[in-house]
Amino acid sequence: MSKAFGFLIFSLFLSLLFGYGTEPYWILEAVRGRLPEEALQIVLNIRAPRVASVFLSGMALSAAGVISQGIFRNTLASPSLIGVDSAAVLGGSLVIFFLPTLMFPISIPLAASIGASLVTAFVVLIQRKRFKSTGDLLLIGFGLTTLLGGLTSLVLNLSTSAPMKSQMLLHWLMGGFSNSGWPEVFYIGGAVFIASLVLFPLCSKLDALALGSDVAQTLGIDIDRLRTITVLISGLLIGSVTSAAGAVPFVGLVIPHISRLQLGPKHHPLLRRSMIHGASFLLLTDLLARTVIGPEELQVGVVTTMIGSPFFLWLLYKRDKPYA
Amino acid sequence: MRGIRLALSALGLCSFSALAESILKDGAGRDWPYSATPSTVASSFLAGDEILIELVKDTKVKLVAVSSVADDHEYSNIVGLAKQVPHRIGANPESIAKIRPDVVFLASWNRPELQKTLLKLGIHTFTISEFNSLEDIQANIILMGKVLHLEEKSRQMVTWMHQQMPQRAKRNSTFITFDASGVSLGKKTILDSLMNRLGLENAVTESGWPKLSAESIALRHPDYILTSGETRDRKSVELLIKKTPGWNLLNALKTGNVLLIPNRLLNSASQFVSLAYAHLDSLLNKSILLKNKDPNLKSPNNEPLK
Amino acid sequence: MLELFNFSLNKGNPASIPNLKALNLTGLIGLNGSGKTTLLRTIAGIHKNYTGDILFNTTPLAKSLHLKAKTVAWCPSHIEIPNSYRVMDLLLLGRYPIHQGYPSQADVFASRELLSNLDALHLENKYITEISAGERQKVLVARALNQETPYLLLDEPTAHLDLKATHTMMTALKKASATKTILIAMHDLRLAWHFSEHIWLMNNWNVIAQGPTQTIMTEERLSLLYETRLEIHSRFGPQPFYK
Repeated sequence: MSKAFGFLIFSLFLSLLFGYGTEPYWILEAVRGRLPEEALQIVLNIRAPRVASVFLSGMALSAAGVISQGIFRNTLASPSLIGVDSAAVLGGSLVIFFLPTLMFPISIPLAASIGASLVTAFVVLIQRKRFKSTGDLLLIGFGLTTLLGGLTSLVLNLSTSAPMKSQMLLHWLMGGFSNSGWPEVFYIGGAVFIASLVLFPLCSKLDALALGSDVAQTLGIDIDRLRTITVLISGLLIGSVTSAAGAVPFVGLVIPHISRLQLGPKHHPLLRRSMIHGASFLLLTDLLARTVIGPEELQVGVVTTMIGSPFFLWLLYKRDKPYA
Repeated sequence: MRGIRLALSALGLCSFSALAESILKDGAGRDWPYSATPSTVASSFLAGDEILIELVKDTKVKLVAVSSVADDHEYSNIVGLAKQVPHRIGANPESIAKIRPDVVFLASWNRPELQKTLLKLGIHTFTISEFNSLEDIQANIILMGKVLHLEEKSRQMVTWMHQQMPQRAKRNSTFITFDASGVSLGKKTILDSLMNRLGLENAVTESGWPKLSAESIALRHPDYILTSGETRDRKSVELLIKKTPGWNLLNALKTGNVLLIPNRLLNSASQFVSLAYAHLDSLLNKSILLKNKDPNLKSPNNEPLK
Repeated sequence: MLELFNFSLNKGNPASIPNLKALNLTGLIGLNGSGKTTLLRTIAGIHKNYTGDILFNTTPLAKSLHLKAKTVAWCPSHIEIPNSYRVMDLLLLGRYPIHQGYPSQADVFASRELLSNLDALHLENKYITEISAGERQKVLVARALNQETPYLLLDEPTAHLDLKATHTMMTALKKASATKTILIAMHDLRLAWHFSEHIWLMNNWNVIAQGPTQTIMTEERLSLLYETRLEIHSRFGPQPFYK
C-alpha cells in the first residue's frame, strides 16, 4: 500500500469522524451499539453522502485535469483555465432557470456535462485550426470564461423575479458540497466509474501524444478518436461534479501537477496517483470548510485555494527534476 | 451597584435625548443641515418607499421618486400605490439628478458614490442604516418623519404598528428559516424580533445571516420551518426542503409545520411588517388548532382546515 | 522500395516525373520552401492533399493506422516535447506500434542498443531539458529508427549536429539503409553527395530530377538550382571525406 493510498484512507477516516453533529468518538459508541438514533441519522443521511461525493469529486476533478492537460499537451490546460467549468456552470444555470428541476434532478448534471463537453470540443477544434501556443490556449480560455461567466450572470439577473430560482442559483454558484446527498453520490460515482474504465486503457496513447499529434498519428494512434473520447469523458466528469457542488477551482490544475512532480509524465501512474491525491485533498479541504467555523460553513473553493496554492508553490520551489 | 447603573443609564438617556433634540444625525453619522420643510422627497430603497408612501399621504410633501423594486410584485407591498409616483431611482444617480428632489433617503447598502454624487449636485441625502429589529423600523419611521417635519404623522404610524403587533405569550416553540440560498436568518434580524413578538424563539442563535452546516441544522429541532413562498408553491417548496441535506431530517418537515409567507412580507422592513405579523399569527393559530385535532375548527379567515 | 506514380503535391498540376523511386538511402535536396517537408509529411500519411499513388513495396499505405505505423516512421525536424520526459521514455514511445503502450524489457534493450549505435547511451536517463539541441536531435532520430519500420522519413536530421555526431549519425543511417528504405531531406549537399545512393531534387513543390547521386548532383544543375556557383572537387570524391 503506497503512502498516497494510506493518506487517502486517513483523510477518509478523518472526514467521517469529524463533523458538527457528533462527538469524534461516535464510532466507538457505534461499535458498542450505543450510538443515539439521531447521531446515526446524521452520519448516514448527511455526513456519509457528503463525504462520498467529496471523495468522488476529488477523483473526478483531478482525472479531468490529467486528461485535459494530456490532450492539449499543455500542463496549464486544466478545465477551469480553459472555460470548461464555466460552461458546466452555464449549462446547469440554464436548466435551473428554465426547467422545473426538482422534477428532473438528473437534468442539471446532464446539462452541465453537455456544456462542458461542448466547450472542450470547441477549444480542441479552435486550437487545432488556428492557435498553437500556450499563450493562445490561455487567451482562448480567458475569452471563453469571460463570455460564459457573463451569460451566467445574465441568467442570474433574469432570475431575480423568481426568488426561489435565483436563490437556488446563487447557492449553487457559490459552490460547495453542503447540498450533496445520495443522488449526487450516485451520478458522480457513475461518471468516475465510466471514466476509469475508459481512461486507463487510453493512457499510453496520451503518452504518445507528447510527441505531437502528427508523430503520434504515425505511431498508429487515432488522434481524432482519442480527442473525442477524452472530451466527452472530461465533460462528463466536470459536469457531474459541477452540478453537485458548483465550480470547484484549483483541484484539476494543481493535483495533476503535484502528481507529475512525484511520478513524471506517464499518464497511467499519473492518472491513478492524481485520483488518489485529488480525493484526499478535497476530503481534507471540505472537512476544514465544514468544521473550522462550525456550525457555519466556509466555501470549499476558499479552502482549496488557501491550502493548495502555498503547498503547490512550496513543491515547485523544492523540486529537483525538470518539470512542465 | 444598582444605583450606579441607574445613574449611568440616566446619564446616557440624557445625552441621547439632548443630541436627538438639537441635531439630527443620519445613519452615515452626518449632521442633518437642512432645516426647511422639504416639499419633494425621494427614496432609493424599498423599505423607504413603503414608509414614505404612507408618511406623505395627505400632506404637503410630495413623493417624486421611489426605487424600481417598488414595482416588483414579488418584493413590494406598494405596487398599486407606486403607480402614482412619477419617477424611479435606479442604480444610476443621473436619474435622481434630473428630478432634483429636496431630500433623498438612501439606505446604508447603497453605494457611497451615490451619496457623494448627490451631495455634489447639491441634493440633500439622508441615510437610513439600521434594519435589525422591529424597533429599528419604528425608529426609522420617526427619523424620516423628523426630516420631513411630519413627526406627528410618523408617531401615529408607529403607534398603529404597536397596536397591530401585540406581544404574544411564549409558545415554547422554536422556528428556523429556510432559504434556497443556504443561509438562515439569525438573531439581530427584523424577522427574529417579529417572531419573538409572536412568542417564538429562533433556533438559530447566531447573529445575522449565517450559512449553517447541514449537521447543525439537523440538531436544532425547530418546531416550525419558515420560508418564503406563495401558498400555491407549497408542494415544490416542501420538495426542495426535503431534498436539502440536514433539512430532510427535521421533524417540522415531517409534521407539515412549514409556514409559507410571501417574500414581500417576509423581507419587509417597513410598517408592512405588521401584515407579516398578522399572516404568521393566523398560520400559527391554525397549526395550533391542528395540533388539537379538532376537525370542525375553522381558521380565522374561515377557510376550512385541511 | 518506395515508389510515387504520377505524383504531384500541387493539385491539378501534372507530375513532372511519372515514376519516382526511393531506395536504400535517398537524399531529398532543394531550396528552402521547395516542399521537402510537405513531401515527407505526405508520404508519412499526415498531409493528404496530393494526386497520384504512393506505393510501399508495390502496395499503397494501409488504411489501418496500426499497419501504417508498422510500415513507415517519420521524424520531423522539430518537436516540442514536455520537459518532464526522459530520453528512454521517448525512445520507448518510438516502439509504440510494437508494444502497444506496454513496453517490455526487450523493448528497453533494443532502445539501448540503438542509443549506443548513435554514441548516446549516456543520455538514457537524462531529462529532455538537460541535453543539448544536438543530443536531442539524436534522440529524436533514434526514436524514429526504434519504430523498426521498413521505411523511414527524416527531415533534416543533422541540422544541429557537430561534425563528429553528423558522421556517427549518417554512418548509422547508412548501415540501417541496408535493410530499410530511408528518405532524408537535407541541406548539406556534401552529406547528400557522400552518403546517399539516390537523389531527389526538389524545386517549387515538384521533384524535378531523380537518379543516382553522381548523375543528378552535377555542378551546372546544382549551381542553377541554388543560384550559387558550386564546384565538385574530385580530391574528396568519390570517397567520403569523413572517415
